[in-house]
Amino acid sequence: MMCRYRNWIICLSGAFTLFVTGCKKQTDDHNAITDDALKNNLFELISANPDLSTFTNYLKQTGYDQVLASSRNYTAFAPTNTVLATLDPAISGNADKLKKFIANHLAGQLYYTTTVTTAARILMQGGKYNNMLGSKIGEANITGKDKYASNGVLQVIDKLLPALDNCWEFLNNSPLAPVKQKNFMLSLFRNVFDTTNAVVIGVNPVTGDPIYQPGTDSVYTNLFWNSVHDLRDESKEFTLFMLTDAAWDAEVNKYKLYYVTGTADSTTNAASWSVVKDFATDKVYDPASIPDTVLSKFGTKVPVSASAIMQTIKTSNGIIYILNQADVQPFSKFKPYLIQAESYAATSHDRRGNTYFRDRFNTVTGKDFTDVLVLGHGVALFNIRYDIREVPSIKYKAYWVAVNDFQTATFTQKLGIGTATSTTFGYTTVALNNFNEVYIGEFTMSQYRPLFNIYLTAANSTTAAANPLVCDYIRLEPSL
Amino acid sequence: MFLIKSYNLKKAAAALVLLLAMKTGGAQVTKPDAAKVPITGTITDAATGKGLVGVRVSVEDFSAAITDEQGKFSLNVPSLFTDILISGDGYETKQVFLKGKNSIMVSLLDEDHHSFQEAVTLPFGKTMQRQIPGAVAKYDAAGEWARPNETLDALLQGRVAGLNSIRRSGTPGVGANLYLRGYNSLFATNKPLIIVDGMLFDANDYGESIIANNYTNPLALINVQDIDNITVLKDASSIYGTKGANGAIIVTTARARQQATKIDVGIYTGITAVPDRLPVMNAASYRSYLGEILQSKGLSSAEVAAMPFMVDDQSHPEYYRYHNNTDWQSQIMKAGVNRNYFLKVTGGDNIATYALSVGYMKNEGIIKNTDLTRYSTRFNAEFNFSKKFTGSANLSFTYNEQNLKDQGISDKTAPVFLALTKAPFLTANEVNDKGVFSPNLEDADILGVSNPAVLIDNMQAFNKYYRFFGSFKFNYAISKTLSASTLFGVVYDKVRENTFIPRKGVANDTLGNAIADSRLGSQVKRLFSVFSDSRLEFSKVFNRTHTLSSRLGIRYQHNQAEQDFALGFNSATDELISVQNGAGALRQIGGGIGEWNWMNTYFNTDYGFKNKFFVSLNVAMDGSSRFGTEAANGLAIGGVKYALMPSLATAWLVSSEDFMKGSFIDLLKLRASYSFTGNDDIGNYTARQTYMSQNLLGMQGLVRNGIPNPAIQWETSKKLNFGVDVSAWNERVGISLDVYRSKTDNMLMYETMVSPTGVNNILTNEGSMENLGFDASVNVRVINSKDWKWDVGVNAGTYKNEILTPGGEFETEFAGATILTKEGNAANLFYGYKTNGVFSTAAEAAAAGLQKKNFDGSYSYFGAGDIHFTDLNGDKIIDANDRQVIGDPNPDIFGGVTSRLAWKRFELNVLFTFSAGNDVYNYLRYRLESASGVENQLNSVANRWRAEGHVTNMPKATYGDPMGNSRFSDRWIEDGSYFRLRNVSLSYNIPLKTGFVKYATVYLTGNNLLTFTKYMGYDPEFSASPSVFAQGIDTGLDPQFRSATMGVRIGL
Repeated sequence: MMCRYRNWIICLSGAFTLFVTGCKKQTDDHNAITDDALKNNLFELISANPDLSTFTNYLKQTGYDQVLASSRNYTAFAPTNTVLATLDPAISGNADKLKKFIANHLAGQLYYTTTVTTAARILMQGGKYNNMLGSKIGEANITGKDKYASNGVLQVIDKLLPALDNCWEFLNNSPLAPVKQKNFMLSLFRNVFDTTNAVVIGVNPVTGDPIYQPGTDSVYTNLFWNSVHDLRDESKEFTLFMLTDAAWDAEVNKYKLYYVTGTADSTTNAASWSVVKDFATDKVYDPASIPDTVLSKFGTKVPVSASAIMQTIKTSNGIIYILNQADVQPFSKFKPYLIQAESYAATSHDRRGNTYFRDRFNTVTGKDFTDVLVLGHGVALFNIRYDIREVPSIKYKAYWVAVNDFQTATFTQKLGIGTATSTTFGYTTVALNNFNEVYIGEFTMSQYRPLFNIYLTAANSTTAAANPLVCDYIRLEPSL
Repeated sequence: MFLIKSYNLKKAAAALVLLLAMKTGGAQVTKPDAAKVPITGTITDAATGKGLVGVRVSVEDFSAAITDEQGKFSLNVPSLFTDILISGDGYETKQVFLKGKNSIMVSLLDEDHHSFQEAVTLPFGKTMQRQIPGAVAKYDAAGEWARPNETLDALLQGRVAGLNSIRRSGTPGVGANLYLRGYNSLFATNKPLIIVDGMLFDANDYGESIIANNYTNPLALINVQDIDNITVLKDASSIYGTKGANGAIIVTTARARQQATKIDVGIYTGITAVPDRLPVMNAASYRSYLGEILQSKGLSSAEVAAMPFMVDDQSHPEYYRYHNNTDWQSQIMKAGVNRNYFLKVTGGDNIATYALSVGYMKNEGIIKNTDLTRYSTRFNAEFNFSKKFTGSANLSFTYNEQNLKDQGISDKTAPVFLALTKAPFLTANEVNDKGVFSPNLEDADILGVSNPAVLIDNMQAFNKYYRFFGSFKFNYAISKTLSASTLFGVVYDKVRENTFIPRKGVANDTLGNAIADSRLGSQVKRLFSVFSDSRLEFSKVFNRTHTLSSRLGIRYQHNQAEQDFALGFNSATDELISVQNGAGALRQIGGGIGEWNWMNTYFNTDYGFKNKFFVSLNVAMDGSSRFGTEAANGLAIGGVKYALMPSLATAWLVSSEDFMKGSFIDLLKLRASYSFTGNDDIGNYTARQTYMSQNLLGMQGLVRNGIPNPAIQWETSKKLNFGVDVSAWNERVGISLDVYRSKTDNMLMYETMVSPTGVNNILTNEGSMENLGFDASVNVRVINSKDWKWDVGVNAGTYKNEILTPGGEFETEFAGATILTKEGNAANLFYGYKTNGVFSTAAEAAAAGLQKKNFDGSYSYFGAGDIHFTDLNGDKIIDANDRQVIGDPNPDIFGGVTSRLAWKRFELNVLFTFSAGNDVYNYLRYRLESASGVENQLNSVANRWRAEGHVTNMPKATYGDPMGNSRFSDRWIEDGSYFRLRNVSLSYNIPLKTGFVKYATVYLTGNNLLTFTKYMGYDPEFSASPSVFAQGIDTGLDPQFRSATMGVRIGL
């Protein structure tokens, strides 16, 4: 009888063992990689494609095979063998150049043709950027789209993505760059105060300001980078206009008239700067669609006629046009000065207790404004100073808005050109409740002034009713 | 605060005595039959078939005989339709109906066999199960020598049909949430009443732990080695009045079975095994994932490349810090060791017997530096002061110490969650630029994630709690039929918790007015309760035909609970760890006081007719300080409302009828019962106007705290039960089936108030809910030979829960899940979105044309790589209207399978537990697959949608998940069914020559050794909270684990 049971038990335990071993954990299924493509890394994916064997070899030569096999995410824009066959042997034969070239095909994030639906500038491994939109990158079309691997995506392209010079590199390195404009732009290097990397070695006991170790508190930089556009910046795109030497000279000479100084050199320099600062924009103008006039950063209209374009150079961060003429009109270049009276640089005496910054409504323009009123200061010839910069040697017409709504009597005040007591203009009566712009008169700058002072001067009286100062703004209009 | 001031005891008692008198009057008996009918018989051993000598055969109060060497006996009986009682040492006691025969053959099974012949402990003493009319189950713990590390609630798992015991987590001693026959309440307790040695054992947790998601289990204060037997009353428990709605579990602790001194010593040691790790991504997969997440966050290529973990240059000073591959799960888990020592002495003389036990246990958890240490003592004694005056004492004192960690939903401080989500390229220890590791632990990382190793090593969360639980009972036999008894007991319980979370290594927390770096806390919870139970008992057998016993009694309980906590923040250094070192301005102090009284007057009558027809009538009348004076139901006496809870249970032992005399069935009993019980867990002060302190611009004052509901009352549970008990094949097969309906009326509901009232909601008794269910248990002695004994048992329960409240529809949010409670459905359905995979291409998404509304009112289209949610209402907009029922956490069937195989001196006990058809919301997987943040994810996230045309079921990784791909949907609902080898224990009884050591048994026990489940989390069994709405939600508590214990029991 027991034997029967024993067989039963053996059968049961056998079945149980089968059951246990036959069970696969749901968790394992759930966590298994379902798509074979995700079992390979990006380098494996590239090297498995026979059409990309040259690219694979280049990756190995440059060491990027290790990078693409790591767990960081990359997008590889891989030109096919046929396309890579056209690569300049000067690049493929030079390890440094090849590395730079290959790096310009690898981006450090995932870019799918389906997700890049607005134009994007993509940072490549070499530090340069390529423009991508949909299935277009740079000049190339993406023919094999969005092939994913565990750590990235492969885009097969039909053109090379050369690692071009950027605008500044072109200017600096290329023999094609016109010499005169180039030399001027390269002459703009200065040491500029910058505490980014400064080493503090002490504190001034009087002012409390930090004392920096000499040599660390400034950077050697180019004025053009700081004041106009940093043409080295790969992440942005620029259009730079360069004039041939003859055109450059003509244009500079045209402006020397407006930059009268004590020496010929400084006049040339000032005029050159005045010319060149309008020659770069942070917008790329395609040769096919460049308009006849380009607005500069400073609002100057730069005429670009198609016939004047001598040469077009594509750079990694934009485009350079070499022109044989760019006749920028002075009236476009010279802008009026609008001096908000309440934003003054200094006053002749400390009369903060008598100074009012008033919010008023201009019944003529229908706009709100803020003006300054100094009332009851008790100082004869009390004055307020304003600084204006880079004032060319031209004629200006002066206007102001001054609202006398605080007393019933009129009073006088005047504009001091250069000095507070300048006699260029006499005293002007400030009428009651006049919200109109009042024409003061004309004055001519005999010389170009990098920094120039304008004063608002009170009557030569200590009587409160006679010597107030009030002004909304002062406008200096170029009169060419 | 005694709230029942005008209770009129005399009046109530008089009414009940009158009722008793009427009852006894109705049971008028005929004169005893003087006839003596001789019978003969043979008693044999069922295994060997040989006659048994020395077995006692008797008819109660009539005659008795002892068998001879052949097992033969002769006896005079009053009639041939009577029961004879057979009992022999080492064999089961058996009551046999003569069925009209004058010669019987009875074979006895060993005493380890379970049948309906066993005595069961009921509220008023032991009764043979064949005579019980109610639905009752019994578990013989008998000291649990093989499983000393269990707690009472977890011990019952898989043992009682209809009792769903769901272990809370894998923390040592945390126990299980118990649900007997489904849910009876939404907002009040669903825990069965626990009675230990005649006294209420308060197993509630008064106030939340300050250790995140920790539960202090009062049942861990009962050493299971002290438990003799457990009875589960599933219905007809109206004798406990408004505390009986969820049934009752009656625990009887160790007592002396004989007067001779007996010493038992148990020594155990065991190991626990670390659970299988969840397959989270390794450093390489994670870094790719993280790069993608950071890109989707909007970081540029250069910004991502500048992150230190993205720099692969070995000369970078932080290279070694960010280039590791750490398995964080193994950093926080380790195999633990268990130890258990137990000594029990029993004995006594004819005046007093006693059982004294002392125990020490230390169980280490699988999370490093967590453990439970228990010191337990128990003294039970029974006294015979005189023949008529007897008494007993049951005193126990247990002291527990726990080292714990935060767990569950505690993103910054729970080691398990952190170990799963922490970046694997980091390490636990600081490392310098040369790659040399320091013994110092790392601070929180640049992604703002705490270091799990710091929480393991430097976080302190400990808990000390003890309980004195003692009672004295006195009995006086006034006459042969009438006796009086009274029990008086006291409970004093205290829980003390301390926590400290260091600032170094842990991510900062945000308070209302400050940033918290280090966090400190201290809490004390106290419970003091006085209990008394006094009764008159009448018991008589009339004319050997009618048995009658009645009790009239009163129980009284006075409780005081108090919770006080203090939380501090930002101590000056990590060396200052106690709460007073926190910054003064940030200190938080709080707590609560509860005081309540319960009085229960009860009347019980058990009537038996000819040992084949049984009736049990119970009536309880409850008063409680919690009930409102304007309660709609109940009896008003002196302006106080009393709940009246009657129940009636009947049983018919069909097998004792004449017409069954030729049947092969040994026992057939039909049962029916109907009972009213109540649930008084309605809050101590809900019926009253309370005030709370309020600070306004530095002025302190009191404001009204909501609106009182003076009509608040107990919940009423009406239970109807039909059952049948069958045994056959010489009682080797025993089957018990029960079908029931329990309906809860006056169920507590939060009723939403209109805004001018100034309160959101108010508790009312408007709800109604029912359970229809079926319990079954089968026990079979499959093999019964001299050397081999094999018992197999199966028990299973099923219930269907349904909300009856008309219009009482509401949603509950828990762990990101929405739980729907709606008329006509189960109380706690998962309510979310259905999904149809992931859009593989933009064309596919465009064809579906689904949109989602954004916060700013605009709409976004679901695109390629997003989840395709089912648009239920067809408006092409995925919003709350598209939610549907996506899962039901209630099991279709749950229970256990037991097997006991004995061979000579070996015994193999196996317990399987199972639960089938229950859905689980895997919150942890939701966090580990939402692919929307910097947390590490499961390996499955490597399958995330990458590019147009990628066919996968995992959506794309997007920071912040703007499209809500990880919203509560059927993606996170899993089948939580499991079948588990819960326990297997092998024992060997070493043969010894009689001497100093009388016997010795060696035990080898394994727990949770095998689990069959499709569930993808650590383990399919967890219960984050006793609330109905938290069931089936895996919040990532410390998981269950496998363990093995070896032990020896020595008898001196």
